[in-house]
Amino acid sequence: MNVMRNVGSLFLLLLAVITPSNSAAFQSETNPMSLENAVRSFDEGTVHLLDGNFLAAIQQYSQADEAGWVSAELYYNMGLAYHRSNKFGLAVLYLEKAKRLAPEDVKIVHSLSVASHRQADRFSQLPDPFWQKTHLWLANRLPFAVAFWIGLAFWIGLVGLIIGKLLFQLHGDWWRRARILLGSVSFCLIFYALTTSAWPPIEERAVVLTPEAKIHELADESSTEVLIIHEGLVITVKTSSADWAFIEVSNGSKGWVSSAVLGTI
Amino acid sequence: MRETFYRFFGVLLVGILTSSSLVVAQTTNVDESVSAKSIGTEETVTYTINVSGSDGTDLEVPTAPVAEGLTLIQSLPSTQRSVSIVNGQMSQSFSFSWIYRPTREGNATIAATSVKVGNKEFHTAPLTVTVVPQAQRPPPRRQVDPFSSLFGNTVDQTPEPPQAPNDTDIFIRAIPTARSAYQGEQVIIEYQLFFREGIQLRQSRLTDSWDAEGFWREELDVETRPIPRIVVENGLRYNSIVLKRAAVFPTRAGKMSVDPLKIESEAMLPFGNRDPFQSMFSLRNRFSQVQLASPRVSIDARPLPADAPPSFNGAVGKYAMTVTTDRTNIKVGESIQLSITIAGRGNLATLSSPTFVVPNSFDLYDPEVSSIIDRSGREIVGSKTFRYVLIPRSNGSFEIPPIEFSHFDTDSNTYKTSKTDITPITVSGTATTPDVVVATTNGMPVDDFAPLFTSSSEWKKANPGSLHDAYWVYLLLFFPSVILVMTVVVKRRRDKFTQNVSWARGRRAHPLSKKHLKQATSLLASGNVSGYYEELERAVLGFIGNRLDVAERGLTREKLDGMLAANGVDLELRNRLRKLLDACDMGRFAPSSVTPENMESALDEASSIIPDVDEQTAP
Repeated sequence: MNVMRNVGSLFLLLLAVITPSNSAAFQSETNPMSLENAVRSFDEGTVHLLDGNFLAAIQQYSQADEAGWVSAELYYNMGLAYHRSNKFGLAVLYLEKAKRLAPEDVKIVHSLSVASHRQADRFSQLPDPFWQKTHLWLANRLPFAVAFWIGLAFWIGLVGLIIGKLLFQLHGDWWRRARILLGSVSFCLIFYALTTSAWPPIEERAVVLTPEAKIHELADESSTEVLIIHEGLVITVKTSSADWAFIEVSNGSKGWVSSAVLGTI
Repeated sequence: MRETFYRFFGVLLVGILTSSSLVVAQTTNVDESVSAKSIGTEETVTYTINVSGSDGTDLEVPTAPVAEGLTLIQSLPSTQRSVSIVNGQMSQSFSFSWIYRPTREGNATIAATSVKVGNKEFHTAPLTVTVVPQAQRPPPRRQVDPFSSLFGNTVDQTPEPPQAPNDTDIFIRAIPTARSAYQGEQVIIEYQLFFREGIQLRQSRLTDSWDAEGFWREELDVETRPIPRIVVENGLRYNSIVLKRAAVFPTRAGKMSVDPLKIESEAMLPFGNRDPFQSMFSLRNRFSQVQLASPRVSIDARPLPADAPPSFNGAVGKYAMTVTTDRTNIKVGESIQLSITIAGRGNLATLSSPTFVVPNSFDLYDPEVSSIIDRSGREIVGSKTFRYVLIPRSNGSFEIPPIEFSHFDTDSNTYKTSKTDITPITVSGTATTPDVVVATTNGMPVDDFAPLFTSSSEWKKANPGSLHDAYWVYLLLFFPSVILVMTVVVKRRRDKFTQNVSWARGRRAHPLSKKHLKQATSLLASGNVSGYYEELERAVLGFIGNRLDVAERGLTREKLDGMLAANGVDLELRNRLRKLLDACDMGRFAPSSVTPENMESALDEASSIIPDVDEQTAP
């Protein structure tokens, strides 16, 4: 009886610790805009976009975005509004954000294809390594958050079985096999969830927002220029600071570029 | 005779002056010259004063200047009037000449004199002539009898070789507008041919191609039939014509040179064959071949300053930009013509269009470029126009951003930038689509973005945070482990309680003794004396029994004392214990003899003995 009481107290303590951190992690930090208001901003922005008031549409869409509520449709419409406002780099940025949420949407894929034809740079694409492709395939089908919760449930089940063995004499082959199964699956799922969270299969990418950007050999304006890239080009960010970002172009060319000219997807 | 000459000269002068009413007012200029800077002792020299820019009405005939080492042959000057019409404008000049003969060898000087034109008096400069022995001069030309050949006199019929002019008789001068210029800056080089008065030229042509490596070159127009201009150089009178005028633009920084201009011509000196008949029938022999070359022109090209604005694309000179659109309200599919005109002076040939962006909904076609270059002046000026065609593919309100053009201004030696305003364009209507494919196989528009989404259902929180750096994740994972560890600990404890009686009694000793003491305290308050002392005895003996793992019931005082002594309890504590147990016996069996003070002191003593026994029996 004492044991059960102690466990209960510990559980309550754990809930008390987790609840604020959990809510902080899953809720907007600054803007308390509700989902209803975000949807209302989306609808008002769409009316402006249909009327040709692109700047007003962007303002409305940005309110929902800044509040922390996003959708592929919101990002797509923002990209379209920027496109109509002659801001090519921002148009590509938001189309790429939309594609990240809905990778196979026909409208988004088509519009990105049209945008790519207007991009001034023509770089070849190096093939991705097979393990990265596998990881991406898996991440698209099993989000790491889902894997974590399933893995946690299996882990709790395993602990329950061990306690049952200790307190209630649950011996036997079937109980042993169940413990091995739960232990293996929970370990794999939790390991997958944490590693995928720490090292996503898609590296951080960004879009060039200025008409032209110079890639330097070093993080210094006076260093040798490696390449000149143009507005709307999607690049991979290897590492970045407030002033400089070390980037890689699709053909493997690498160098430093001013962080101010990039918009992170 | 002299009076007759004066009359004739006066009539001549009046005639000259009265015919000058059409002369355009010009700046009066007076210069002086001699026919030769070096003469022999038996030769003569002609001194000439030339007055230009005067119509002659207020011109007074100057007096012959005084000479040292020379003697004047005639005091009255020979007069000549020259009239020229250039570009419809007539100009005239008057020259007065005197002939001097040397009186000795050495330097002779013709002193300064003055010429009065109206109320102004002009002063000439003194000129020096070198007089050398006649033997040092070329032999005098033969005096040929013009009729000797007609009468069979064949003595010395060999034709006289033509006399070639020297470097002072004819030369080319290259005159650049600057010896130092910025890269891309316009420099004009003018090539002038100077030849002495009386020299005739023909068959003139360029011998080599003129080159200027490191320069962009543009030719400027010059007169194809130039009228020689009379100039005085070093006291000698020359005719001057412009052979070539070119604009050069350094294409790189550094010291560079322009090749000489070379011409080949045939020249005839004023003193040809004195035989008039031979002169008449053998003109070819009187011209001699001459090859002339201008000096090489060096130009130091400086690099442009480093603080060039971003829109600078190499334009150097003096420019102004204008941008026009033929209309700003159109329908989808119609075209707008946007013209960028850059006008000014500089290298228009290499001038490129300013870069600008148009709305993405517009198709922008390559520009039609046209240039108007004026080469008639003394530098390259003109304009260059870039005509772009823009066709909108969707309706809406658009803006053509400001167009920026920068150039390096050679007047102020600074970069200057001009910028247009935003050009609003309103596009109405919808695209006409009958003849073109407007949609892809999946219904998407060709070459345009797909239509917008009018609704959104799958909303999610942006940036939910990463899993690996949230501490609650690790708390959740750790919690089952804690429960498991607690379970193991509890199970072990429980097993020990059941399997190790001695350890279990030792663990229970304190709680039981406290329980009995608490019970005794409540009995004390209720006044139950015998029950009180019974509980005290049970607390003390129960504690000792559990602590030493012995059955307290049936334990005699001696046996108890012996066991305590064996377990290291000192005599004093044992005596205190014995007294307490005696007091308990007294209280239980003769409660009337016990006072409340005795009871409280017994409780204190029991509470004190238990921890002392625990301390001294501790392992």
